[in-house]
Amino acid sequence: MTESKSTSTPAGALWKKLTSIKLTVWILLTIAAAAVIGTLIPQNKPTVYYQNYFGDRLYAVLSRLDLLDMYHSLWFQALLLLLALNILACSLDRIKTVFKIVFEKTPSFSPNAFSKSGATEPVTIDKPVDQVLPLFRARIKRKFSRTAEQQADNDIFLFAEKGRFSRLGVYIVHSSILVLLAGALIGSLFGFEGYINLPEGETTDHVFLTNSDQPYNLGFSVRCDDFSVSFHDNGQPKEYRSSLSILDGNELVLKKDILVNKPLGFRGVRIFQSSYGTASAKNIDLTFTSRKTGMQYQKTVDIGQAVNLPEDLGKFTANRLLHEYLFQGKHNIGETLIGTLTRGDDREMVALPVKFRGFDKMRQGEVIITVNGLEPVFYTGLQMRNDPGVPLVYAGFLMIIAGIYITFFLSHQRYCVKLTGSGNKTTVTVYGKANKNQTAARNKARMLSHKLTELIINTDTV
Amino acid sequence: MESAFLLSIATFVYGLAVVCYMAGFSFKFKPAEKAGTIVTAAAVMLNLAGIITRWIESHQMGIGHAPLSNLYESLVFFAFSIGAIYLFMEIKFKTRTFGAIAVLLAFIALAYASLSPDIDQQIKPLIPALQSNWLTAHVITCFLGYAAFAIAFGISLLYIGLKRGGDTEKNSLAATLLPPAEVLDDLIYQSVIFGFFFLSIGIITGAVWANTAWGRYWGWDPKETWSLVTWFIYAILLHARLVRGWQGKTIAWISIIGFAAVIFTYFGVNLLPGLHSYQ
Repeated sequence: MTESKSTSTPAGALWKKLTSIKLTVWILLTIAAAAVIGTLIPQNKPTVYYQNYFGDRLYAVLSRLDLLDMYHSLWFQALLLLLALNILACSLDRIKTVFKIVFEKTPSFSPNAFSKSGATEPVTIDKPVDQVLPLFRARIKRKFSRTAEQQADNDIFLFAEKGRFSRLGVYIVHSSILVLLAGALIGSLFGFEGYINLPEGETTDHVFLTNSDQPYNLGFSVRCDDFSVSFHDNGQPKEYRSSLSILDGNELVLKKDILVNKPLGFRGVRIFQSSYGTASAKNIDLTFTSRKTGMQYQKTVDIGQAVNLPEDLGKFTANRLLHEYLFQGKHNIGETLIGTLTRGDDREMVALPVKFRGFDKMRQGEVIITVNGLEPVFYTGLQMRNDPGVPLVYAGFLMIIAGIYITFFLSHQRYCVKLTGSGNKTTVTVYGKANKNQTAARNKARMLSHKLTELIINTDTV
Repeated sequence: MESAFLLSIATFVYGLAVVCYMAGFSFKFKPAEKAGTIVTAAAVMLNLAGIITRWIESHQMGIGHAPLSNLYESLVFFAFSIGAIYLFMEIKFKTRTFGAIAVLLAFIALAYASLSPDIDQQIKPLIPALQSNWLTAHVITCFLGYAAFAIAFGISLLYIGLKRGGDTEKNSLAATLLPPAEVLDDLIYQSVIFGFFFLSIGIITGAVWANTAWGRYWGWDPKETWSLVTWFIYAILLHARLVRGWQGKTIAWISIIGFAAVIFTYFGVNLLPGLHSYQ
């Protein structure tokens, strides 16, 4: 691949650039720097937030540079693409040589390939070569995947190698990154991500897409049967639980409770517990006090219901429960029941804060209304996702872990055992070399020498 | 709490180990260095005993969970990981020269956990987001990675100190005390690959967990992003060394920068909004 392209042609020069490690380092540094900026500038916030935070002019600049939804911007994705190209080019550029070594049918061994630096101290054994050799040969054949034998002058060489495939580890790591990026691309092209706030008792057949807020039809319906939140004694939340029913048309197909770490999956869509809130209220316990007679009347209503009051005081309708309410547009009085008091043609809106019981006296009306208590009707905040890229991404994860292990903790080791016979004595020298960590290879050569000589000593004692 | 007591003893024992290594190192006194190993082993055992005791205590309180859920517990496990990995490396590479600095880092982590008034030591129930079996795998692998990087950082400081001692290495004090530069260089590389392996698994277990809990394996949350930045820095180090054959000072500096990124991933991210801030 490389031989055909000289650097003098533009294509060759481009190829050289694309396969350079310098480019890799620059891409990694740029992605890292960009990613850091993305953690310093809050991403995907509403426009108002940025205008308050940065001012209009800076906001316009940042928005123009795509720094507010950076990770999805074209330029960031172009960087990722460049990284993918760089990895691909580097792998293609080098893999031919490596394949030659790894898939060679008849590897050639030569004593000259081993340097003295990887050699052990020679050990002399009181046995002739023809007695030593079979034992050594058997041992080496058992321990190594490939072996060979050579004779030159007075010396016999036994060659052994293992871990040849470890040379491929680095390509596993690099291609895993391509697999990951491919998985991410598939997910973003063919998957969806949406959310919905679903009150207890209600059913939905759609969600709103996270990136566009457009409704997305699920093809089935989800009903929230119940939502509950429980707390520990110290007030920390213990569990958020939604009881969901999945309906296909009108037919109930699945009933399941989901928790924060326990989603449910249906037809490739996974449903996650994401948030909750108060949607409405039921069994609202109210006290109506007549100003004229001082009589008190207890009534219970649900949101949307109305009650008729005695003494010709009119009718009260519970309209809504608000999480918070600004009284006279400025004072936040917290959770508030909004109701309507109807008396003949008079209609009056009343705001009844749950926390402040005597609040309604201020209205100076004919009747004073107090909220004694209520049962909240929750909504559950559900996230729904479908990501067809996940299997690919997971495959990439496994490849990364396996690849890094192979690349860094295994090596292609080659050993050469030299047997020099003289009369009844044999001198053994072991040479070791590896494609990385030469020190370890030398230590292993020493071990091998030790094990082999031990073999002879052991047969002696038997 | 007995666990807190055990861990404060462990802190002092780590401190004692540092003194032993320093004495052995400065005076070329072998027995003191050997004592360093034994004392470190004792500290690591105490540290582990503290972790296990805290686990038992949480079960006795009826909220049992692995003690890996907040800043205090993570620091305790960080110290343990540094101590354990250091001992492993000491045995594997047969050198005690970086004992003082490695164990010092374990001491600092545990002392910070035990003594800082800002760190809440109480055992608390897990918030719903953390109630998952992935928590244990994710935290253990991440912190094994962080600990290996911490050791690489310590050795890098030694290396740079050695080189600062002057180019006329033979005259400098550091050169007479420290092993040859090549040995330190190799130790930096070995601890970085160990850390890189575990950080990779840590990020991946985090991604798988995020996918099971929230349906996304990557969300550019500050912690995620910073862990990726850290991964990139060490990836650059490995490429510089394996492809370009860079050694020595440059590698030591990249390892120091990498550890700064680790520290920011660990602590600094708490300053930014996100899912990982320790509350």
